[in-house]
Amino acid sequence: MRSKALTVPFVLWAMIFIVVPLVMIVWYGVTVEEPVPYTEIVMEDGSVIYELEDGSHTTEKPWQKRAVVSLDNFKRMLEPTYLRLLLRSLKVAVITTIICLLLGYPVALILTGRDFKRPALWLMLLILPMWMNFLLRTYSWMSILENSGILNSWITMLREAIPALDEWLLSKGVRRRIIFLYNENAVILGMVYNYLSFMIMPIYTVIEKIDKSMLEAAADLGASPAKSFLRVTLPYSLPGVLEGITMVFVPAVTTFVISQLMGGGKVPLIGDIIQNQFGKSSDWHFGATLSLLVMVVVLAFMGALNNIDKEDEQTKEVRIF
Amino acid sequence: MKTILKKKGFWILLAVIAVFVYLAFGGSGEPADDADVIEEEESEPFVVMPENPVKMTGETISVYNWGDYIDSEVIDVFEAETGIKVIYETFETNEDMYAKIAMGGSSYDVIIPSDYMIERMIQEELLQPVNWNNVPNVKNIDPRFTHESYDPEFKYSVPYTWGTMGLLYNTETVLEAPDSWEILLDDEYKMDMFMLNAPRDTMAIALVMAGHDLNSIEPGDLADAKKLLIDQKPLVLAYVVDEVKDKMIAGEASVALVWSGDATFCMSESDTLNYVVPREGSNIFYDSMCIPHNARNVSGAEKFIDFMCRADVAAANYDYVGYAIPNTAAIELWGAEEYNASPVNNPPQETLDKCQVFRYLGDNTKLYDQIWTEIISEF
Repeated sequence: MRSKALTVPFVLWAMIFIVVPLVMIVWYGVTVEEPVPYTEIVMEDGSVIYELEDGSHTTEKPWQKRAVVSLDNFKRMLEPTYLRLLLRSLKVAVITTIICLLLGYPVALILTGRDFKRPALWLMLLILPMWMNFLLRTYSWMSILENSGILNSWITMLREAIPALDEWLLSKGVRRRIIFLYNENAVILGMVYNYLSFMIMPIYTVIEKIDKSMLEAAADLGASPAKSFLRVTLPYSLPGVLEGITMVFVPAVTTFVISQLMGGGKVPLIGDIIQNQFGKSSDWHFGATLSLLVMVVVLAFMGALNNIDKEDEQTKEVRIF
Repeated sequence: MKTILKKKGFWILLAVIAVFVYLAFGGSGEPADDADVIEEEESEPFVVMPENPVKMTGETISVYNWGDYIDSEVIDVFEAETGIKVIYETFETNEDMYAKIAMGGSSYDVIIPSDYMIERMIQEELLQPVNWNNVPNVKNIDPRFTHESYDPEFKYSVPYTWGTMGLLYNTETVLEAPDSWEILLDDEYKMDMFMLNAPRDTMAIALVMAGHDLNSIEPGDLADAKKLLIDQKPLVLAYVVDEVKDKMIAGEASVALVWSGDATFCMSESDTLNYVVPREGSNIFYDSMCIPHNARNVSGAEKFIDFMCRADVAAANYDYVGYAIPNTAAIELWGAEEYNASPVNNPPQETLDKCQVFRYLGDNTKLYDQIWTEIISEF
């Protein structure tokens, strides 16, 4: 009885901040605004009055809107423009996740290595930048990569110092100022930088918990380090990898600020378009429809990952190669 | 921590970081110092002092304005002179402000929305006419800036500031000073220009370039504008929002489409930047003082609006806000020559005649959004 009472605050919280907003998004998503219907009545003296559905009359032309259930926004969502944007978001998110995995896994592995001293300190150094606001971090990358940025000013310095290098680069068609920003690669860089620690942390935690005696046993039984990694560490670290993938992929697919700042508006992602609907275009209904689409994609992705996770549980030993 | 400090590696790392930081920021320190010196030499800020201060009466008015869009000292003076306490709140976008007024939950006495929003609010009966008998200082307002299409009878709104859209350009890197939108289609500036990531605004300029009305909702006109912007895409370095200011000051590109308010800021930070309203015409915008339909203290609101139109008050406020003002008497008082020297404040009259305000487009706003999405997602 007592334990049930303790869940009340949580259930209330979940209702107010999770269920209600979700219902609102769905409601907005399946409705559109349309003007209230009215009929014009021309009076004897030539003036016009308007009769509303409830029978009331007004002399001013009615401007009010009402929400009606309609699938128009779903039709609009399926236009090639929006599907292409979604595909691009998925592509960018997948690339980001793969790079984060390729960078993050070795880092987590090295940090848990037996020969590595003070892993906690290094882990903290990796996490430290994440204490800063992520906008600030992204702005820093902008001031590094801009045409007038730090990197370009160093390149200019180097080229001025060594004229031969400058001539050689010019002959190769390299501009004096190299444009690093405002393209898809810059967006991916910004995302990898911002989300890398979300990949490292779960993998590190899982690998650290692997019973070291299993690795020792593998070595005793004659397995090479590579083989014991493939047969012990890798399979046991998979839950961490899956968690890391989720934690990077989901925010990557929905981000909008990084793509605006690093991509200079030239690499719009589905998140940017959704944000536009709630901001500049103030079309909340279509924005909600689009976010439903993204939610379905993310749910499908999480579902697929969960399945992998479950298969794991059953076999307990996974042969990857 | 003690052990870290003893490690040689830690100190080497620290030294390397220090060198990097110096290389990155130290080298560019000097020009900034120069700029500071110049700023100090500028004339004293314009101050307004309260005349005949009275005791607070307990009366209040609530004012709802854009963020950082008033000199707070002006409010103090109003309170001292009238004894009316001002409850001051700010908003970020017209749409935020509209939502609050339309929902009816809160009541404000003076609001300062932009033109197209005023048109919408008049249409929806959310504003009340101003009684000019109680706002004698309206005589200071230049008639060039009244009776605009958003309030054609000049009944509901008193212009507070105005501005234009135009080109901010770097005088050192452009071949010649632009006076036409054509520069935005010039191959010479490939990957050397910024456009605004704002559907309505950028589309409006494309419509003007294609020779159409900037409020057009004709499919043919919009298709022309769309084609023009898609053709222009390879020339554009980036579609930016607020970042445009920092980037233009840093010399990131030669030309940018900007709002005049941003141009004023950039030009105060960098001597190499200049602004022009192209001769083909542009968008002109107004932020105007209005009284919502549900205002509690209408007479207080009228006093406030009248106060803001007073020459010395408007001049002091201009000194702080920096947006062009429609107040002739205030411009005289502040120094007409210096005021008119700015291309932001004083575009040629024939250009100004070709500038138009945005109309409220209602549901057709969606058209713009859809076309804009198609333009930027072209890849």
